[in-house]
Amino acid sequence: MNFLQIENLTKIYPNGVKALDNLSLNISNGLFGLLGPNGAGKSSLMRSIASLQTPSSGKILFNGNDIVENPQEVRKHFGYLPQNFGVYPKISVQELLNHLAILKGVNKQTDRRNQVEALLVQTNLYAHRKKAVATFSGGMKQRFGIAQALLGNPQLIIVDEPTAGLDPEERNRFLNLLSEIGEEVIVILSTHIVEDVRDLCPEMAILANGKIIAQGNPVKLTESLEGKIWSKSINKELLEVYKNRFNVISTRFFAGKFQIQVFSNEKPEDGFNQIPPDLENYFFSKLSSQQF
Amino acid sequence: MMQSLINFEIRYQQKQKSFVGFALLFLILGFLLGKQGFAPPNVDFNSHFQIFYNSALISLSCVFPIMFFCISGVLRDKQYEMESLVYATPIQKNNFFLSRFYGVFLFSLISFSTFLIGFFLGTQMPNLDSERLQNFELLSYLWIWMILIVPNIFICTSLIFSVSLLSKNSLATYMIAIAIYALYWICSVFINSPLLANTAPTNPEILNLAAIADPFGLSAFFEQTQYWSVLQKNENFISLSGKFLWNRFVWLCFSGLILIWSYKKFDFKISRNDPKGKSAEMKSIAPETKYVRVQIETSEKSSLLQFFSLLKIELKYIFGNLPFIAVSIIWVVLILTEILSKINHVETYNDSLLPATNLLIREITNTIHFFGLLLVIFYSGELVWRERSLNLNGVINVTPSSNATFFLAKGISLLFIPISILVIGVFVCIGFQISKSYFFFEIGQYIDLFYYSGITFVFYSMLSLFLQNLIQKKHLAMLITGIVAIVFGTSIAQNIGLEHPMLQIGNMPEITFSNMNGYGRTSFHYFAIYWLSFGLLLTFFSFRLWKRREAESRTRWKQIFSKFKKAYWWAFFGLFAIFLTSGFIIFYNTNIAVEYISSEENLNRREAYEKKYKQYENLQKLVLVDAKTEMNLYPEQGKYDFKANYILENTGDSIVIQILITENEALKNLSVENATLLEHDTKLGTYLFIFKKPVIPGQKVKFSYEIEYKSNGFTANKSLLENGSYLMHNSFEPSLSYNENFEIQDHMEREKRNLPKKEEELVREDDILNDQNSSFRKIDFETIVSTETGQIALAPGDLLCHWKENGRNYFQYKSPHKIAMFIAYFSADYAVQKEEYKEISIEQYYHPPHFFNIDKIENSSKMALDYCLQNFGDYPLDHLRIAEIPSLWNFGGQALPGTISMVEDRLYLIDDRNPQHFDLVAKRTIHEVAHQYWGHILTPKNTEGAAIFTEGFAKYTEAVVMEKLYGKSAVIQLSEQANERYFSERAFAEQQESPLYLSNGESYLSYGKNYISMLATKELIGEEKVNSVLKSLLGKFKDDVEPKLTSLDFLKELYKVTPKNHQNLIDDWFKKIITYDLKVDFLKLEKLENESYKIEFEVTARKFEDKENGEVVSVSIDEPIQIGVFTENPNRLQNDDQIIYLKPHRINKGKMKFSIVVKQLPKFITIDPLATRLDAKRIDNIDRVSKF
Repeated sequence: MNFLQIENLTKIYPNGVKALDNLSLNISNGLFGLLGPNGAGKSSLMRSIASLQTPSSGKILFNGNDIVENPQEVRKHFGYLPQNFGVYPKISVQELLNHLAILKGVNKQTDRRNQVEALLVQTNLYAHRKKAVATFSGGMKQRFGIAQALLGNPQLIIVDEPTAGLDPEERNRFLNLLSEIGEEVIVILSTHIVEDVRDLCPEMAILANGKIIAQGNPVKLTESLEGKIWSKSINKELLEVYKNRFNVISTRFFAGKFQIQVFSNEKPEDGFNQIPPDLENYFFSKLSSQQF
Repeated sequence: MMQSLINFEIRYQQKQKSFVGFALLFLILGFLLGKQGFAPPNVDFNSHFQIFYNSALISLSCVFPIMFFCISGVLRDKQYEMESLVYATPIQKNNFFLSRFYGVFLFSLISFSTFLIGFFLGTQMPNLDSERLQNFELLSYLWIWMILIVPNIFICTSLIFSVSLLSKNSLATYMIAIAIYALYWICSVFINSPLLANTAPTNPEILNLAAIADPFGLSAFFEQTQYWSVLQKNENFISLSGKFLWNRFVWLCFSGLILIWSYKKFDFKISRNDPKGKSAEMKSIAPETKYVRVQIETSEKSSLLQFFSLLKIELKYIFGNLPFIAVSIIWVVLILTEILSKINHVETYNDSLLPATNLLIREITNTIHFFGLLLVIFYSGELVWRERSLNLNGVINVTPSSNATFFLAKGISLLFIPISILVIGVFVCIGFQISKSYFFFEIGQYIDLFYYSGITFVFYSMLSLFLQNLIQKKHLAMLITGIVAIVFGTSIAQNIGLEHPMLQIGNMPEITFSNMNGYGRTSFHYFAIYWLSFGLLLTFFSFRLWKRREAESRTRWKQIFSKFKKAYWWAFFGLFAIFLTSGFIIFYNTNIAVEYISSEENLNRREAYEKKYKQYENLQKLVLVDAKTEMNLYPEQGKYDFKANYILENTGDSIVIQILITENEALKNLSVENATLLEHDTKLGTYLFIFKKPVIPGQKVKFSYEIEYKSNGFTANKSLLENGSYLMHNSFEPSLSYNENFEIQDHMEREKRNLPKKEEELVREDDILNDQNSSFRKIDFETIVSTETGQIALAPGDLLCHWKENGRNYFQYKSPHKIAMFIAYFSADYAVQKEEYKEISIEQYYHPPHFFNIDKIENSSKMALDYCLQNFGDYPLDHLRIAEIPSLWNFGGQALPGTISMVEDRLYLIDDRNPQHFDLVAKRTIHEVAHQYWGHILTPKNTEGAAIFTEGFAKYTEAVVMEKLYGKSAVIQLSEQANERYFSERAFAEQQESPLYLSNGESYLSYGKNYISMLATKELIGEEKVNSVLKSLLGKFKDDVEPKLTSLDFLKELYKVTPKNHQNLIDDWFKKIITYDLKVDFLKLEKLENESYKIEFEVTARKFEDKENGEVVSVSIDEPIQIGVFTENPNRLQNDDQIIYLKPHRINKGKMKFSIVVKQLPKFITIDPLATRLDAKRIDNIDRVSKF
């Protein structure tokens, strides 16, 4: 069993931006979803855990090893897919994966070959294994990114916005792969796509303004909203009026009509229908409560 | 739209640190250059000429700011992945193109233009000699800005911008900038540009071509000003006309075209390759393998695997990329041209040197150094920041590979760059040797090259890695490394007070290799250890600073010493100990074992010397009349003992009371007969003796001293070598009076120290007669020289006996008659070739592998001796020795009495295999042999005009003997060279030119005008009559113990044999400063009946005189000048059969028409084909004869 403990983590960038604010979190084996809007500090948190930046204060412990003080020890167990990354030009996927496997410490050539091959197959890149990664399209590059994150023997896999740019089929393959692996290791899935978390993660947290504003099992968290989400189709011009009067957590078009969702313990007014809550409602309600 | 784009561009570039950086850099550069007061002698520091020269020179480096601005201005979209955004906006291609170009051009121009402001400020500094400063003239600066700086920046910007825009690659942008810069220097080397301060003059035809081809306009500037006098340099503006105008026009048009072309080619689209379609995805059958996690290791083995995998990736990046291939090509071209221009046709007469390995290495070393450093600096930045700029660092840095592995892989791959540069260099050299059918490859020397050049690269690799890690900004760190390299690799370090070699970061002692001596004793190894250990310390820190994660700055510094393993402490202190120890050894040898004298201290001492002893300047001197010496050489140990027993005589007519002795090397056991030591200044090395009884005229005094010298390898001494010692007497013997040479010569420095100004006096006829100061005597000389076994020691004089004692070789030499005190001691492991010829033993002493030209030297000596014996008189000695000395000496050869020293590469390594080439071996040998007559048998009084007898007569003998051997073509080549030398060197002369008979040994007069005047005299009155003059002078003056012969005696003899109506010409050539401008224009060719041809042509002739006040006036002409008709261009004459007609014609009008009938079909018509008249523009003396 692996444990990641984050204690009172704060990161202030030289330009004064406070990306993480006294954040604490405990994570163990399994898929952990980190949900947050853009700019919430997800990447900062991921980069801090991956030891690509040092926090201003606070501790990160992996299986009792301090990541800040002793990054080298923890790096043996990392698998990391950054949000954005580039590659060396003119080097094929296979070569690059092989190189990265060596860097990860997969010494045996057969191990390396088998693992690289398996990853190429599972990321559906096998046919392109001789092609330079630099020539890949966004989705293919992303698949390569996933493959490299799984090289070696990762115990702590951090994937930052992994499904961006993947088509639904690719996304499914990838999520399956992750959930398989996630039984034995920690997988932190950082994303702003609610479905990813909903479908996969037994455990999740919502990050906003550098703080964890909610944490728990997605199903249970959603259940807490049972009977409190109301929906109504309105004229779009009236949105401001509704916003002033009710706690509007989200809006959307549904079948051509403008709908608002309102968080309320009882029926706000006529015309609102109670709807069964989903994770998205939960996410938005948490975010909107954060704004007040 | 356009306006706002431009405004944005301006705001953007303005904010770039590189803009501020470069603006400051050029400001400072200008300031330093202005403040330095750098100008040729007598040219004002801020004259238009000088500002132009400086600006043009510095404008070469404008490619660097342009390069930076192109990267930030053109490549920024790609760098920041903004392309898709920018290209998707409605900006039009032309707006985009123009605004970006405008931004780069404007900011390059502004940042470079600060140079002029800096220069102006620099010239306002109070340290400059105010007499050499003109009033500030805004127009002068503006004019230069307009005709030089703006076009140059525009041209360079166009080229670099286009490459940058089209390649969208920063490395390609660097490369084009460097290529422009490097190619420029290649061309300078190739055309022998005055930029490189070569003594050999630039070929006018090539200069004409270069004037157009040179994009920076420097060559056009040189072409325009090549013959400018000091007055013109101070007053004239560079005119936008002639070649210069053409140059500007051609290049501006060219860059305009380049811009238009690149605009057309520029694809306003995202530069990424299209992603490959998905179709392929399905085809390949994937094996059924399931992903499983595998165990990883962090062992030594994994580190090793990781290191090699990383190294492979880096090397693939370096060597597999177009820029490096381009660099290699540039590099090959660079060294090939360097070698070709320094080995092939290098010598003034188009002779080549043998491609001996040491010569090739010598020529490419500087280029390697410059080029290698440049690459190391650039690639260090590229390599260190590569993953970051690719945005791959997130992936790479989370792997468990250690910092050390990453760091080492980067460092080692960086070293591959200079190594490959060296390997390519060696292959080019060997290839060149093979192509010249020279098969002595001397592989050992090539291997040594890796050590001697490699050390600097290793150090700079370490330094630049350190700076990259410390500063964390790629371009800033590159810039700072570059500045360090420039400051400490050039004389700038000394100018800012960092004189001591231990402070000059990474600067290795210069190594000098000669085939005779090898590398010799050198402190190189100590400095190698010193700088390498320092570099390793830096490396240690850079490794500790290696940026693996974004850290708070305080953590970063803590990082250095955090988790300091025991091994780290060992490494750190070990390195530190080595650094200190080697530092101490160097310090001991430079400052403790010998006295360290800074240049400031040296000046102080000179000042003290002058102040204290100037009063003794006019003391009646004692003159050396007899010298018996003993020289014991220990070449292996780098030491010698010298004992001298002199007899001095009061040759004047007043008594001598005191004698001031100034040492050159520390003296021991100094004794002056009958005198007591009044004062000994150990610091200044002076001894003042007072005689117990005054020395009366004619009285003789014994004088003796000893010198014990030991060299430690830290102070360069090219005289005393393990093999090939050449100790010139005047380099160590004390002077027996106040030595004026010790005075500070620099005007500024004198003024600063309140020393009286040194006045140049105009010398007149009477002065050379009455000059008592320089009286010297020929002396009796005898010496015993000893050296270690295996070496032969030489000195002037008959060899009396030779013996061995205590395992050493002894030689006793005594000159059979009185000789001029021009003595040196030789010692080397010589091969000997002797030949008895007309009772003279011609003896050659040479380095055994240098056998190539020995027979030719012998034959040429015979030819020269023959001619002299026949025409001038007896040779008084039974021997003529010619001995080889190492290439460290920068003269061609020296003629001592009966013994000639010749330098390795100036005689023995000349490639004389091609009979079509000018025979430089013969020329040099004849010249030095002739000096046995002209200098030794006939010794003139040591005063103005004496060079006529020494160099003038020797050059004359050279010409007549060469004519006997090779015909008129040899004479023409000698003349062309002498003429060129006169005009090019006099343009930079420090003093106003004096007429020949009052000349002061200026080389352009000694070797240039002397020759031309002697040749003109010969063509005027005939060889026999000239020889009779020389012979009669020899007869009259050869037995003078105190030489009295002056140029006036020569002229007197010359008048006797010259027809009355031509005596004024003798005056013109020897007593005045006369130049000519001759020109011939072909008019008509007519075929006559009896197979003969009538050729009509026009001669234009003008004659000028330089007056004493510097004014040049036109004077009337009436004299016979030769007209020649040739079947081949006279400058490419192969034999005298190609001369159809050569006769003097009376030229007495500015323009005259002639017609001549010849028997053969003429091809060329010339006026003065032998170049007997000084004519700056010789090219129009020849005209091609066209067909009917």
